[in-house]
Amino acid sequence: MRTPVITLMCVWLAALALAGCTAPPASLSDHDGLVHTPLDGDEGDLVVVVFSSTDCPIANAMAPDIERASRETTEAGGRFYLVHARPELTAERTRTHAREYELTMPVIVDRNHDLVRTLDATITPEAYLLRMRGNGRYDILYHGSVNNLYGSVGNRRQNISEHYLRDAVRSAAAGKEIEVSQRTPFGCYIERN
Amino acid sequence: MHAILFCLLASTTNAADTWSDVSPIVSRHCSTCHHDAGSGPFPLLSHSDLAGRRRFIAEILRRKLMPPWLPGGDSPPLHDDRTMPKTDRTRLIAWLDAGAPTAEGTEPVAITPPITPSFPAGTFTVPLDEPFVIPPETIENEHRFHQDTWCFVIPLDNEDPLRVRGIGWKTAAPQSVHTVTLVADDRGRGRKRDEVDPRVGFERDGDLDRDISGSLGGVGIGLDRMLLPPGFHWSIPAHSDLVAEVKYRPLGRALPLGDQAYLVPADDVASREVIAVVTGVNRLKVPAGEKEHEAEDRFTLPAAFDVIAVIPRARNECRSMRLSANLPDGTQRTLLDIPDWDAHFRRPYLFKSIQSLPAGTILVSRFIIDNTDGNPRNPYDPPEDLRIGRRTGVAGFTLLGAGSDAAASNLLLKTSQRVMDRRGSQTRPSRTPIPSPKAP
Ligand code: HEC
Repeated sequence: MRTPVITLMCVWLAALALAGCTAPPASLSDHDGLVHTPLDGDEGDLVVVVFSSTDCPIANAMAPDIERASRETTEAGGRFYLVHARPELTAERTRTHAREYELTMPVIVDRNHDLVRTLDATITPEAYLLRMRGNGRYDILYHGSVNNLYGSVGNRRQNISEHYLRDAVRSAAAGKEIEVSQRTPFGCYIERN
Repeated sequence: MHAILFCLLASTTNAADTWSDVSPIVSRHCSTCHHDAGSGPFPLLSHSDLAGRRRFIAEILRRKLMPPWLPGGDSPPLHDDRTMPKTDRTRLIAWLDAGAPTAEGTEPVAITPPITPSFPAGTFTVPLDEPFVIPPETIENEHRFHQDTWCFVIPLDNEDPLRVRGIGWKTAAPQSVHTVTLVADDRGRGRKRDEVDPRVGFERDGDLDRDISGSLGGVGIGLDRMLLPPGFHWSIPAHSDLVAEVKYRPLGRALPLGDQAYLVPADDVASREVIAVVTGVNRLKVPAGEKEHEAEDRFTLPAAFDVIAVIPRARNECRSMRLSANLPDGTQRTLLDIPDWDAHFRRPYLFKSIQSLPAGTILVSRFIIDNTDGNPRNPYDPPEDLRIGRRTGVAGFTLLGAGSDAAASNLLLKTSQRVMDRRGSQTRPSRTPIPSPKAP
């Protein structure tokens, strides 16, 4: 039913039209063994996927803000996933990382880069806010940086003053339009396998 | 002819470099900080440490963000110069771009982590006994100098004055603690500030009235000690405290501090006491949107001054700075040139040879401030009006050195303090209101 061609088209569409993609049946387990299908869900569901890394200083510096966005997402009835893109990461390592950074959302290691390829993620941290259309289809409502802590790679600001992801979640939950739906993320590249 | 051309091309592009060719470059320029106990956020020791971050590292190298070293080409020779030669940089980038290859049929050998040299015999350590925890994120406070800055009082309980020829600092959070500067305090000023702040340590900068933090030296990223050249010492009065200003970078998680200061006793009796001459601007008024604000200060040395080190200081709205000396004979000498300032990599710089400046030399310090959003390091987004003042300077250079004798040193110290005082008194202690925190 869902052929690689459709997946590729989805990537292409996601990049160009930000609309109406079909998810491959990516089901991935978190470090507690629970299985998740982030890109599947009922029509109207809000889903946030944030690509991260255990040792990217930029992603780690934003961990508290990512956790806050996660809480707001779940409070608004949505789902939130932190996705590590380095295949060699063990459950032990991601569990320790989540404990150190006080992260409470499900943490997935995308070993085969299924999600990385489907969403065309390139950086950590990189956020996607999706609204499900049902039948494995979704719209990308927001894509890009979590906040404005970094002005560019190597250039960190004093404080976060714009919480892009959080604000996008708030707007989406309130049924409002998201003003800027794409913002360049700065961080560590994901090495594709 | 063709063969020669081919050889030339091959030698400049190094297309055939493998891990064993580039690992000495990584070892020399990166592994010193990028190992488990170092300041770098991840180790750069094994082949996979690099291969797994190939594009990221290549981009950081292209942008010349690593290794961190602020002084530019016009500065005189400095100890511990971390400038990476262009050939090393291009070779490493080319190897990363080529897919980080290893020689066929070999196991890539990892770099041995560097060993920190021990302190000289007789060095004593004083622990920071307070249970401070570096917060995961910047604490918003009312005063912009003190962001990500915390101070601690470390009692020395010394019955007699101390003469030291070096200081050091060992931190339990090397990735977070970026700069530590010290000042000696025999008047309980640090203690008083500590009492007023109910928390562990106190949240402020470490300047004590006219005594600038760093007058007793400091450490920075990749620099755990500051040893004075022979013939110089610092004097610490009896019954003193060390007051340490710790500048940290929040890393997203709580990090307990368990640090230690080191003092290296001086042995040679005939050494000169080091004093701190501060020169710079006491106040800045730069409206948001101003791109190239120039601030300049001039200070005339009342006596000859032998400078051994300089510690720069400015906020990140400042893009570049330069300290030069106009000598009485009409010549001009650059003492420190920082074309791309980043306060997080601030540290003391020790001259390889003492900079002897005759009496009458004019020290000129210049700062270029970019308070637009075109400055990617502007701490505020969107930029805000900058209106700050401080007696010990808001952008400046601390020069450590000595006059020809105690009287000359005293004259230099007192003149510098008087100049800063006079300007400081024209500066009301201005407090830029911080933006009201947005609803969480
Ligand atoms: C003097 C110590 C030091 C040396 C030498 C050094 N680094 Fe770093 N490196 C750091 C620190 C500290 C950070 C964290 C920077 C920050 O917090 O902004 C860092 C961060 C990085 C990052 C992540 C980028 C970022 O902005 O966080 C990369 C990639 C990196 N270093 C690569 C290298 C490479 C490659 C070399 C050798 C050519 C090198 N470093 C040499 C201290 C060092």
